[in-house]
Amino acid sequence: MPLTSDALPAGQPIIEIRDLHKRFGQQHVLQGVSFTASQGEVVSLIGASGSGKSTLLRCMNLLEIPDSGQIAIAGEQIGLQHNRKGQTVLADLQQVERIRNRLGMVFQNFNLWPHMTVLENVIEVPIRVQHVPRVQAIEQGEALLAKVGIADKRHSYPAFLSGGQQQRVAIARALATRPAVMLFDEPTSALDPELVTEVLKVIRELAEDGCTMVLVTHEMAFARDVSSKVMFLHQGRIEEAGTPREVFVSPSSERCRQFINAQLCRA
Amino acid sequence: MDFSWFAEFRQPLWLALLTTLQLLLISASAGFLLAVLVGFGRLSRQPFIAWLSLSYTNLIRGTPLLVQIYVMYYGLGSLFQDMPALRESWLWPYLREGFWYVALALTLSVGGYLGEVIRGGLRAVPKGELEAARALGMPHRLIVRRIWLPRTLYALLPTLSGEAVMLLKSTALASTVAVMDVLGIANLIRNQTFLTYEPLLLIATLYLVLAILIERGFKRLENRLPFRNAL
Repeated sequence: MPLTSDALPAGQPIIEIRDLHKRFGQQHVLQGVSFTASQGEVVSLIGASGSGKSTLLRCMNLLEIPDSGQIAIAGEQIGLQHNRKGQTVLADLQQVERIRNRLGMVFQNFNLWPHMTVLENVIEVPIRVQHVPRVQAIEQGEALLAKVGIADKRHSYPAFLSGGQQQRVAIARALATRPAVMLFDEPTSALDPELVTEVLKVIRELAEDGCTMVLVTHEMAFARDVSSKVMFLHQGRIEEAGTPREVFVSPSSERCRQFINAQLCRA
Repeated sequence: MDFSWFAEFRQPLWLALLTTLQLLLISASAGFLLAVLVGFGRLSRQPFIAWLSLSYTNLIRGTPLLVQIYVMYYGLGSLFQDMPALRESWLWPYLREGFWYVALALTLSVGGYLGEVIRGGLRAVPKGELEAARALGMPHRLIVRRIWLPRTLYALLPTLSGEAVMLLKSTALASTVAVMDVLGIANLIRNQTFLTYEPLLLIATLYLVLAILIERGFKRLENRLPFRNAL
């Protein structure tokens, strides 16, 4: 079973963002960011906290609505418009729901639904939104849970799982919709150190399977190993972008060099 | 203690118990539905709906339930009395009875009090769980139906249990508008037997038993939720 939808040929841009601006009150969090992720790419967003990398990721599936700029997913432009107060709003909620359905998202805090079992968490969206027949959804769900190494817990409730296990369920839940891209928002930041490895292992396997991913992370070594492209954000701008080698070994920006040195020293 | 009247009043006591239970069930279920609407209404982004829900809540919680029952029964009731069309319609047998005015007043009351409880419960659901549902493409209505509301109600079970017991005791006010509920029948027995304590003791026990049964029922429901500690 292919993990992600294979409708797009390799190299085709899936996420295209142009000149994105986002303010939270006085704070100008994104100051004209452009970004492209293509089929099969693993893009890591790195940078200090407050640099705007999570906001950028959350704009990709419109959990945050940018003040201006353009977002296109798989070639489809997201409709944005201004309301009477001058705020930017979604022009067509159904369009966004359809597109979100093609983007899997994994959060820092897992955000599993506690009143559903592990398997129920995974099959909820395929059954209710995508109208996959129940038997088939269960079959696919169980395969995904096996893939993330947690099949034996499928009838447990999230509260009885460790953080690492919960995050792996969250990955399976996001994969269950057969997304074109997986978005990871600091997937290991809320985990105890000894649980980080098991989650990174799953993400690494996805990368090796050719799953297109955008990853916000503080795990520098991991970003260096799995990414095809790394972007360093600083104060709402992309300060440095390139292959892991270019960004980690020979960055042209002094700030990027400092950030990476500090991170690698810490590790 | 003189309970010799008991045999004679067994039948009316039984009917009174049924009346109380009917009041409880009708106003609990209708009130619950209303409360869900009020709870969401309070959180609405539409200013008018939010304002309406808040005003409703304030009105209900700011006035005594007994006054509300009187307004329904004497106010609305006498209004209806002056409508000949209504007096001849099939509705009249119901509109003549205190029962439906009390049921309506109790329903509105539950809507106000429980609505506020549900609002709090809805807000207590971690934002991230709803965000995850949104991020995976679930439409708002589906999120409400499958995640937000069930999640809230499970967490509120202990509170709902308490509210149900409160409602049971509030039904006793029905006796003030000549409804033959449990307290109503006790008053009747007192008048006919000139005994004070015995009938009251009996029905106090009856209310207590009902309250315990309600609490037990909710407790059992709670214990059947394997995830109850996580909410």
